[in-house]
Amino acid sequence: MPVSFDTSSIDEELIDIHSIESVVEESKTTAEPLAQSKILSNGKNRHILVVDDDINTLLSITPLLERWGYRVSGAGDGEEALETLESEPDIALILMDIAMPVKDGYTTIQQIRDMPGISEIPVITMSCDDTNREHAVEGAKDHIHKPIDPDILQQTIERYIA
Amino acid sequence: MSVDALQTETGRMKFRILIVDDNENNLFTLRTLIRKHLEVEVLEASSGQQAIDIALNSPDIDLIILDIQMPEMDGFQAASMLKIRKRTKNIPIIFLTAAFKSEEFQDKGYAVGAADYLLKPIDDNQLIHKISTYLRLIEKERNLNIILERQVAERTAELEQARQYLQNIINYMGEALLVLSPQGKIKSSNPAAQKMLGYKEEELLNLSISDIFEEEGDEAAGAFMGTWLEALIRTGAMSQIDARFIHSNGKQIPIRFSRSAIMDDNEKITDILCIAKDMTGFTRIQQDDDDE
Repeated sequence: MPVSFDTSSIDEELIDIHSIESVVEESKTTAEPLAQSKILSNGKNRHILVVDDDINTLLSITPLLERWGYRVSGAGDGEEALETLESEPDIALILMDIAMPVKDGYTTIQQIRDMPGISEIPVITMSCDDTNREHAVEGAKDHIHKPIDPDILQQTIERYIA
Repeated sequence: MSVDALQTETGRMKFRILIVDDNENNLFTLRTLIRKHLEVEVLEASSGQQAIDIALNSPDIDLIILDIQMPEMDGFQAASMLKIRKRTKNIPIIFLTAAFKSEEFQDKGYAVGAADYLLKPIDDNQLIHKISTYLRLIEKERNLNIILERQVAERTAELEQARQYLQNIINYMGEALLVLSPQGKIKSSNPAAQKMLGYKEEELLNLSISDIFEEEGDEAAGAFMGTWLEALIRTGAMSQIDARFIHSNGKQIPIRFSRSAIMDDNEKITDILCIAKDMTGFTRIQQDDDDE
């Protein structure tokens, strides 16, 4: 049975990460975690943009992020990422694949750095190839190795958005 | 086949629906039913991945009818992928399933953002009625947007007209108008001011008021502005002050002027308005009066 929330009683400012975790933990035992995370993800710093041309990355990361109470936007290349950033002003963090068609991660990160209003959004790069690691950190806050370990993903995200 | 020919001849239809099912027979049945009753363009995808590709690359899809049980990416996953992409997140999705009938699955369908969750077998009329209801809503929204855009355009034109009207008043008024910063720098001027002072508009920009203005018993420029500001803050405006403009050729022009302050919500002065009347002719008129 889905648990219904009276959203009017939820003061967004009062929801801290621990209460979200406890609700999410609780929700794992119920049939419907998504409906709850939708409500929780209305708060500040809860919107994450995931950029990857491989749909499987989006498919695997999205449900995790939603379960942790984040709202997710997705993009398949750098161009779509920039489009999304312009139309979604509340994005608080970007997870970015490096090797992508149309516009790769390096180029996209450099362009984000030049965009007023969004240049300060932390970027975490993702790639399978660890030789990219040093280079990727230029302009990016951090790097996650693929295949992505959920615990490392969660810890890394929480390092940059409270 | 004649229906297909008609479809291509008429070009872009009013609505475009994407139907998604891994079963070719289901696609055929649904496509045939929709085309028989509704004047819409039907796009088809046989997998979740293909549905996402088509939806991302045809940005004018109005409605997606999505099967759930599909290999690799199921309908729930496809829907959640469509809902996180900027280009596709606003397209309504209707799930149509013969397999996932429990309330739990229906809840999951709505949770990933579906507009509707229909169970098969479904009566043809009922399905067509549902689809056409969505299309009518979409059309209504479209018309509303058109009306809204028209209203915005009308309003913009009205505002532009009002702005032009005010601009004309400033351009054609006989008095010189100078807008100053609180520090006494010229921020803008009207043609009468430019003519009276013998400067071009861009030459006046950022000149200081003390460069072009002289008052009786006038001290240093800083103190002068200080006195001005103090007086303006105290009284808000001052008028009928006799003074002199200094023309770019060095000649002095007698003026009678007023100054007032524009304040923001915190009562902080943002601009100072100076309106000056050339009094060169006025003295002669006065002499004429005396002669009579």
